[in-house]
Amino acid sequence: MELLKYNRLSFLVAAVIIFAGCSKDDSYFSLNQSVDSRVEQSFGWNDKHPATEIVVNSDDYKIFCMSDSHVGTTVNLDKFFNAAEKSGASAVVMAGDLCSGRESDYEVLNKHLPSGDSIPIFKVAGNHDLHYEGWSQFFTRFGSSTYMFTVKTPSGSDLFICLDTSEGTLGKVQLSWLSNILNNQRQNYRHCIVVTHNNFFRVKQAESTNPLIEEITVLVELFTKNHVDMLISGHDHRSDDRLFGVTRYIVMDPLEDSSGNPGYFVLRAADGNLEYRFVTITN
Amino acid sequence: MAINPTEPKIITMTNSFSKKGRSTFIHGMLIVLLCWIFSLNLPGQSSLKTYVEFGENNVSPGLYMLPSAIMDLKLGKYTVGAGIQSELENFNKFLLSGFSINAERSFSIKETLFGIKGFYVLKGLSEIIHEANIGGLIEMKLHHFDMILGTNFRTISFTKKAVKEFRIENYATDLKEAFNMIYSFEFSLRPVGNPWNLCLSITDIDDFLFNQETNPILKFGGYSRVSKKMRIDASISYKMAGITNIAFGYFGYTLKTGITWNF
Repeated sequence: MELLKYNRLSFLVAAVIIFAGCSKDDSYFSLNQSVDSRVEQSFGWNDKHPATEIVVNSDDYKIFCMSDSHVGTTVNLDKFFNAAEKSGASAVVMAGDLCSGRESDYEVLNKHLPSGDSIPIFKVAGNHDLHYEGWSQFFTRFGSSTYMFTVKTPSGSDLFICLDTSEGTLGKVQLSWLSNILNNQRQNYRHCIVVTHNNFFRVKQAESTNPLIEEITVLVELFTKNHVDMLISGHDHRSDDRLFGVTRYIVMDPLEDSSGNPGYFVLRAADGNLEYRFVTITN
Repeated sequence: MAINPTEPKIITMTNSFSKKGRSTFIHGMLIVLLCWIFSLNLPGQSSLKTYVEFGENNVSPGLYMLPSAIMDLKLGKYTVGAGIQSELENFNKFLLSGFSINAERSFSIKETLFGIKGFYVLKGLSEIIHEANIGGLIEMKLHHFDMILGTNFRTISFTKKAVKEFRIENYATDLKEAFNMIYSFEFSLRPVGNPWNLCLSITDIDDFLFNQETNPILKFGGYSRVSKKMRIDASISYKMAGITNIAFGYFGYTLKTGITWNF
């Protein structure tokens, strides 16, 4: 009888420990909103701010992309923006984990961004940006994390879709929006590039938090059927480049100052073709 | 500042499973049937587990239903098994969606039971993609705890039809993940062998599903042995999207119920 009591107690303790992981509090791991409610908030922002169209006068343009700056410090971030401005980039894409999620780090990050007049900047949230209730900081300062923008050249327009994967899943609302865009608008554009923070496929062993296989399946099918040319992501802190189906899956090196392999990614559309290169920053 | 542009590398992969598709499912069905027929005449013990899984998740269009059957044949310390899973599409059309084979050798150290198992699982993920998982695991069975550790190698492939339809280059048809970690930690309220039990577990696998270790499944279930030959099982699972450096997010749930027959 005593043994049975002990086992029941152990069972309850195990249950509490396991399900306690789902609780939402104010800690490092806390999420004060579900992905669906964040996306709804992003859509509200999109209603007031129509999708940006960047018009370039040439058929040759560049987009500078980075992720995982994890501000704190901003040495590499400053180098990145200098390089983007010097090369005449048409836009900059910041693919998540821009800071730690703390308000003070959001302030530092904000101070080191060029003004919107000098170069258009497109940001998506990463998992670290949400820590310490960071979403409210992200949304207040930068707005939506689920949106699209286009680049119009003399010979055609290209579509860029930015997604919020900071919780490890797109959620139902965002997936429905993405499906709608790809199924109904993709054909109006020459190239289609999707930007997420989370990479889809494992780069490193036992550390990746990639989407679940069920979600990857749905997204790969959607990308293949709608001919998405490229997915640009970060998250794993190690560059990777693989073609699966008709889509090239890019993972960028982190821009974080303390990284042993800091870098960024440059996408170039020239004469109707997409070209790209990984850039390593060395001191 | 020095900037060193690097040339991108292209990872080429071989197409190893995509040609097998439909015929493998048919072979799977035949193996399960043959196991059952042979088990009627063999001296070993055999069991047939049939169950239905209902579920809903962030990417399912609604409630889905996956009926499955797994046949095991035990000969002394060895167990061989095969299973099939089907999918009820829109609740009006059954499609074969999964096939598995496995072999296990059990042994004991002092009073603790162990099992070493190898498996191969082929699963149709969608009309254009399927995955194959091959791997091995070791299981330790105590009175109240059951622990599994292992590894699997995943290959996600486009079907032959998709390769042709979408003009996919032959080096871009497959994608491999090596050495994914398999784990299951299960606690049972009553000791193994009890006529009924309640179990709580955390795992990244199911019979036909292999998640990455960072996407765990919480499971609560139980069983009741209604006769010497029949056992009823039921469980509910909560699937999480992301853990470790990602906050816990909801992905989906499954409800599973079935019957195990011992022959």
